[in-house]
Amino acid sequence: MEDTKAESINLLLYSLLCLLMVGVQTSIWPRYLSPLPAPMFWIYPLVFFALFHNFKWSMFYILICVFIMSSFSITPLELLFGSLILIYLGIANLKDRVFWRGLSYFLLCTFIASVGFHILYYVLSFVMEDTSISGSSRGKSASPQFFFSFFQIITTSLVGIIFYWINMQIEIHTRKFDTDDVEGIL
Amino acid sequence: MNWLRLDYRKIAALIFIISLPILSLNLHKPGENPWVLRPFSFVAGSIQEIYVGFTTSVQSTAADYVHLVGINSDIRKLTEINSALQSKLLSYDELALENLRLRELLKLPSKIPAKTRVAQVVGLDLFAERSTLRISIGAKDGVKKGMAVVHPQGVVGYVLAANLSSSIVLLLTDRYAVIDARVQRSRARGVVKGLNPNEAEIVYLQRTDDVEIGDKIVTSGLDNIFPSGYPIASVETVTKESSGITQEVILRPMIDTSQLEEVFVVFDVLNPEVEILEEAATVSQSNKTTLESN
Repeated sequence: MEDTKAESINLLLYSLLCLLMVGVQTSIWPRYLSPLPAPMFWIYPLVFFALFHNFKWSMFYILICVFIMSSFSITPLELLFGSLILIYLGIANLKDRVFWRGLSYFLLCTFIASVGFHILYYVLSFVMEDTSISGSSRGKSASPQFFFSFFQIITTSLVGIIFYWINMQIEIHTRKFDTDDVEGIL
Repeated sequence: MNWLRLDYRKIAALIFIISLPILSLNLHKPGENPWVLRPFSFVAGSIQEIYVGFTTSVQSTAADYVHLVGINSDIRKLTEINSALQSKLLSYDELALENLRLRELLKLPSKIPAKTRVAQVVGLDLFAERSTLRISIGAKDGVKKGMAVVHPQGVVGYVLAANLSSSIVLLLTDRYAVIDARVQRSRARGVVKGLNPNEAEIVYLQRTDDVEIGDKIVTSGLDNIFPSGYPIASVETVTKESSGITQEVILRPMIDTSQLEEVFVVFDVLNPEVEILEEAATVSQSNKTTLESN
């Protein structure tokens, strides 16, 4: 019962953080830092859920995250669900095989998730959409978005340093998370 | 056997969890918000409006604060006054630019044979692969799906979904966007289709149609969504393949959608061409009815 309450508060805080940060990503960032691609702020809690939460609560988070993201974008729900679930499975499987504590591991996972998302979005768009990214017209759309994606992966990985600390604070204050992990070795 | 070390129970549960929301939520028409997502859309719109309002007020407060720093020092008083005057001069420049922009915006309604309403841009799409933006007016202001959205410099796009207090605009550069258009010089007709945030193309132009680099592409007005003759883009490249009945024409949109701050939503546009066509259709229908009755 105690665990459920802690997990619920944790989920609520992450959802709120996701909502606020996605708002920043779509509203404030393009207004003031426009040429620089905004980091994918929603990806940090997803990586955290894949690393430190169980399957059930992770699915709840993915569900809420998809609803939040779909209200800020016209991307079809199935594409968002597909991408997020596959990223989650990828990170969770990686964790089962290789894991070490600290910031460097989180940043590695964030980097993999960012790269994975762009690839999955492209592939799933091709599979699920009538007018996919790749099929829009003679490949005209591919090149500018490639550079955008590249810089977005870099900004997402760099801003991950701040969000590692923020997410750790949420974990410590809601789930009595092991504080040794905060220190982390880069 | 299970060399991938996969938990099949988890995968089964996962498939079940994914299938439920996808099945239930995707049974709706594109561009329409299912009831489950309406609260999320409302919150998203509100958050973006709050952010824009907050950052604007922080900017003005910060500007005021800069004017006040060091005011207690008598020695630096004159310098401060000078700085304040200089910064005021800068803010006047900013005001002059804003004034110019607003004057341009005010000229717009006289250009369009329809009622228009100004809206503030409050947010962009979460993903760069989608070209949409959110504007500050919605269904309660009379905005409906399909209404044209323009800027004094050219076409922006059209309303994809109207929520209660905000609306989603599909930009002309989105790969799903299509607008009925003409080449202004030769009057050749085609359909403008989005490609990527910087480019669009005009499709269904015949191989024999007269189109050159630099030609202006304007709205045809036949869709009765956009006012006729409104600028969309200019021709960037023209490619004629050795075979085929059409030609590939790449366009550069008139406006940079990433720099938009205000846009106009067009209400009840009535184009003379469409009115004539509609009148002709009515006359033809009544003649047919008369002939049939005789």
